[in-house]
Amino acid sequence: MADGADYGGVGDQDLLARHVEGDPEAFGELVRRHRDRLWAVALRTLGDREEAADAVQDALVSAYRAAHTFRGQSAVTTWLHRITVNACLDRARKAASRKTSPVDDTERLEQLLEPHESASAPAERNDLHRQLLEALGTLPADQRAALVLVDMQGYPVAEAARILDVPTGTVKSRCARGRARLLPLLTHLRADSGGEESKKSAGRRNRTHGTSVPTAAGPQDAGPSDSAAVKGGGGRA
Amino acid sequence: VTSTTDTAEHPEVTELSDLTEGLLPPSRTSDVRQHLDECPLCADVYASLEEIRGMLGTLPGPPRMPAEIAGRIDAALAAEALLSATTPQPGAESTATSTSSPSPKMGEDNDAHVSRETAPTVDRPAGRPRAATGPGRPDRKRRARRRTLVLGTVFTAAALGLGTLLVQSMGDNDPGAPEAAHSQDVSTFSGDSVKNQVARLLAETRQKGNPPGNKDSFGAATKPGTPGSTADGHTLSTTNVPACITKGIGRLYADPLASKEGEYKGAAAYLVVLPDASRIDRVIAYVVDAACVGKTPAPPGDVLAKHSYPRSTAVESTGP
Repeated sequence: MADGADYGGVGDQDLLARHVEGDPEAFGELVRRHRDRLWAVALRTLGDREEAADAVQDALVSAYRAAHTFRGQSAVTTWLHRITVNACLDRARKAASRKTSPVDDTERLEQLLEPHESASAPAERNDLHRQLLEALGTLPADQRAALVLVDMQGYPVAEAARILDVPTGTVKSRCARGRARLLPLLTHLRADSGGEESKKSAGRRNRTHGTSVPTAAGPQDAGPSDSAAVKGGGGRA
Repeated sequence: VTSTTDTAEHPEVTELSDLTEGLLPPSRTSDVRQHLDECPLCADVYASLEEIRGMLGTLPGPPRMPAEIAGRIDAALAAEALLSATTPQPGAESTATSTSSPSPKMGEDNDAHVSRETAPTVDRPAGRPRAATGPGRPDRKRRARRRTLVLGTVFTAAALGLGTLLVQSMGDNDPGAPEAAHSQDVSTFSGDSVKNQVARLLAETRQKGNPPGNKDSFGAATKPGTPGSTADGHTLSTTNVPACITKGIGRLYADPLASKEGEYKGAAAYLVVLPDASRIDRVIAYVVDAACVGKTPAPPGDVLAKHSYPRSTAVESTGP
């Protein structure tokens, strides 16, 4: 009976309360319910499997210890996400201070596309995904976390704001800045692919107005990974 | 700034991106929108930003946490359960209070501390046996020493965690007289009741809520004993195991989880519960002939019986 079968009708908050009261199985059930989503957020935020695993582990152990301080003002899942994202951001900042981008080699990127994607998707699309993830890895961690939550995982902005513990406007701003930084990548992809609609828009824009319309590499928010993909526009691959 | 199609007036990409999120001030919003209507280049950038959003949303995600990582995390949490089980803090609050009391520590602002594992020591309610496997963190200064106690106390905790109902009822009905219960029960260890004795002993040890000092003397109790010594005074602990009994068991460096004086097959004997050194989920109960006690020099006591119990067995056979 160690599985979650007997917790079917029990809510997250009740599970946490049971854990605080000493139920040895309750926290495990919470973990089973949420670990996949926490994992997805961590892996995409950090871009590294080992780092993500460590972050989720740290986060869940912290949550285990601090469960009695949970105030019930947000959902348990929000609380778990918040601790996880904080753990990820800590690790991302440490990684940045080590001068290595969390996402910096092909092998790691392959992991992010596992498993079905790299096998079955058309090569071109696969490549696009890889480059998108690579570019994502160059964003400042705050922007990356916001994009992961809102654009990639589809959390509502309000929920992302609760998780990140910032106002909704800040979440929107980080998403907006992050997307702006990714724009040169898309422009580059279109120019390279030579396919359908690519020439008529971005390519032309790049050639004729590349300097008059600024790319996203503005002075704003120059994070630790303010790197080539942002400034170069077409410099990657 | 008036809107115009002059290239010098193109809005920044960040402004366009902000526009998609409604972050621009109203006046600027209308300017930029007007510009977008007239400038295909910027309209294209605007569309591209939306496209990026869409691409991010359609990236194939990692479907599930890989099994080996899930297993690793489960193991880490199990280890955490062991650690927290070793730190019972006397002075318990009720569990009801603990679940509902708003602690300002963890809310909106301090979670960062949690993730960095720098949270201050929490006042965890742990005096009650039900909290034996609950959360809480050891005082860092004492953690190193407590680790030596982990093996000893985890079995107690494990048994209690599974036997919460029993423990709870014992605590509520007999809060003030654990000693009385202790001595009044000195009858036999025979057969099936050894099991029950073991479970009850573990529960009682926990229930008594060892005062702070006890834990340490408990932990140190068997350390001074060396095979040849007669250091009875040192080997006496809160569990009152005479040295010759410990010697008879032969595990001088294992901390007894609990012990009890009684009778076995008509003769005085000690029941001593020790961790099973090879199985983390089991305990071993020794019944040792007490004939050695008081002799000088004391020979090792004869081990009359030795049983290994899974922690669950120790519990399930102990209904009130």
